[in-house]
Amino acid sequence: MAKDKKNQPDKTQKKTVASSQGFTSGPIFRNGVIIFVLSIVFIIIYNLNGERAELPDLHNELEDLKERPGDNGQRMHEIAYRIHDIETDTGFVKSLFVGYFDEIHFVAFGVREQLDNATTEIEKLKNKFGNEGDGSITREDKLRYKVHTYMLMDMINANCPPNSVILLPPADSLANSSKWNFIYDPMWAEYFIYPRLCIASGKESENPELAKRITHVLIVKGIGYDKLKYDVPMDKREPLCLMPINKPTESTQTPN
Amino acid sequence: MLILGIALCYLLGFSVLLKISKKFSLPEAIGFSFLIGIGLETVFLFVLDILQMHYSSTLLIGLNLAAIVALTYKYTLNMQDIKDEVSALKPDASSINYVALFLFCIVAYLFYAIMIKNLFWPPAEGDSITSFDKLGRIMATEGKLKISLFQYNLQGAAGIYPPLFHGSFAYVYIFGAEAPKIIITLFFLSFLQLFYQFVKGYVGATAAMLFTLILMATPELYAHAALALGNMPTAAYLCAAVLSIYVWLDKGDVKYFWTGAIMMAFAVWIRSDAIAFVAAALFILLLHVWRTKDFKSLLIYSAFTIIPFVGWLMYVKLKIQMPQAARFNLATGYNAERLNTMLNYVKSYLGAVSYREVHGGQLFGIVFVSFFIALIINAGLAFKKGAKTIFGNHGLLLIFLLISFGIYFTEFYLINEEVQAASIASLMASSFKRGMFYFIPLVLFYTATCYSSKIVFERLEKYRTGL
Repeated sequence: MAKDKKNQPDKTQKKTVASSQGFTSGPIFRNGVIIFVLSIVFIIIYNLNGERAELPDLHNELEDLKERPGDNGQRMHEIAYRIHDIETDTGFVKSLFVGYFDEIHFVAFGVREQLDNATTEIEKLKNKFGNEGDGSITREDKLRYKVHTYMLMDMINANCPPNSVILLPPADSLANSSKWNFIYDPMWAEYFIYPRLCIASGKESENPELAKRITHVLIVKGIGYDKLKYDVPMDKREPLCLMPINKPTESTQTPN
Repeated sequence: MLILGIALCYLLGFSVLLKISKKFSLPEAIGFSFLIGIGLETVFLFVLDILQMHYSSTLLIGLNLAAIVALTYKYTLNMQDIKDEVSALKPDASSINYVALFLFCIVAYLFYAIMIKNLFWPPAEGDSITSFDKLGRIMATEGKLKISLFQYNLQGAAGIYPPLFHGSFAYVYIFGAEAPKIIITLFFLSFLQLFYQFVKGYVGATAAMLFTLILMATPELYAHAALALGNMPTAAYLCAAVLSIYVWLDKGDVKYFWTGAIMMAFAVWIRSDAIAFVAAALFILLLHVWRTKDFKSLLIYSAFTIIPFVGWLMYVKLKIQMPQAARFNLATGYNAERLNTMLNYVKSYLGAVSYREVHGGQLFGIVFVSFFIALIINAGLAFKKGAKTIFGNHGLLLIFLLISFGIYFTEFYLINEEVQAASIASLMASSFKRGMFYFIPLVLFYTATCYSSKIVFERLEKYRTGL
């Protein structure tokens, strides 16, 4: 301990050393040199993968061209090749720093813009689907923007009493499209509809107690009418709706 | 109300720290306080559930205040100590470490960016919606740990996980949070603070800040600082647990034995599979006992780490009463295809190369590559100067890494794919990948503090200060 103290210069010693040195050999200058070198290293690392900054624009343009009618084949090919070139140009050293570039460029530098854009989109959605509350953005507004099927969950919550049990649509017809999120998965759907309960279609035998208590069927892509205990004429079958499992009397009809 | 809840959590953790020692640095005190505080809050929730007492903010405030008073009533505030601490904080221009300050600014900016992203979005990740956030929200609503969804098997996979992570969500919901992700930011902050302080203790502020930057910028880990998933918080506990024990063994500072034991207890309290790290730590402690005959430490450490593990197992068995298919298939023999798949993924993560859909370099950057380079350089130096000079107590850390990684790998090798409803390839590309977080702070700590790095940083420091 005493030895350590002997080796460590005290503050007055440091000051004397600092003042006896010229600016170019003083500690502030030396700190500056190290900072300069570090900055150069960071800039080189950042620029190693700099062309990845083009990727979002290229992807957006490609998506636009896909949806725009006309002869865009040549341009689409060029963009696809460019994207391929950028994404496959990964030598070992370069690939070590790809992740850093993405997080610095797209997250650290881009986060403010991304959140501002998201806020604008969320506000648009809020205005479109009933502008409730004081105009501030709530957790529900954000979920509505993030989760495609949030509207269906809203529909369940608005139309089913808290003690309802919902039969979800079967997974095999929906799992191949991200558009439907995981609406067929009771673990996932339960998060949004609690305290209502839900059960997976085709898995009724795994939870017979809950299966007996089903009150509603969530119809998606027109699938699920066969689970109802009454017949719905073909011309009245909506592709996306919530139906009571028992035939509603006029006074208890559930609005969709 | 939320601010009060979080303040109480910090104060509770700080009260425990004061009981251990008054000589923690500021970053250590803040980092440990949160990890201990939030861990204890979930212990409160667990005990209240067993006592069948309905959760409420009033009850938790009362419990916190009682615990804080009980822990600190004998503590006397020494004004001279505080004056000394404050005067030590006043730097003069020539003694400021501008390099560390520059690196700190980058760390602070990256932290700010990921924090605002994290706090803006509510949890929307699959695992969080199906499990963690759902459990936390409903625990707060129903006022108990065993929520009604267990009755219908709708609680999600994390229902059988120990309650620290989703319990921490429940805690902030009880105090009125709209979304629980402030907890993620606080875990990340504690993680960085503690890692910085541990490295600083060996190689100074410049290197510590540089390696803290490398740790936080690890691409996959940084992404998780904005996700409501439990792997990064588990990594925070394991980092604090393992490095505390290492410092205790290396420097003999007893306060780190206690923080190590408490942190490892909470690591098991957040994920039962952290028991792999307990096994590795116990092996290291056995080596210590063999040298020093310090059986007391081994017993205390074992008790701290085994009690939460067994306590939770008992709760799952007796209270939750969930019929569980065996998660591991212990009858798995030699399966060349499975082993080959797993080794290829491991090669990808550790060697920063691509395999199928993953690319180790994109996920973990330079972390593991720099570790292996440091290891090779030091192994080379060991031939010249002797292994004891070069590796010293780092040998213990390397043995720990080897054992814990071996057990972690074996856990996945034995995993029952049918019960998990996932192939070994998808498990390696998701769960195993996220579990690599637990090793990142440890390998970076080695890289920063190994013999060769120490020489480099000593020279850099000599140049920087001109002394």
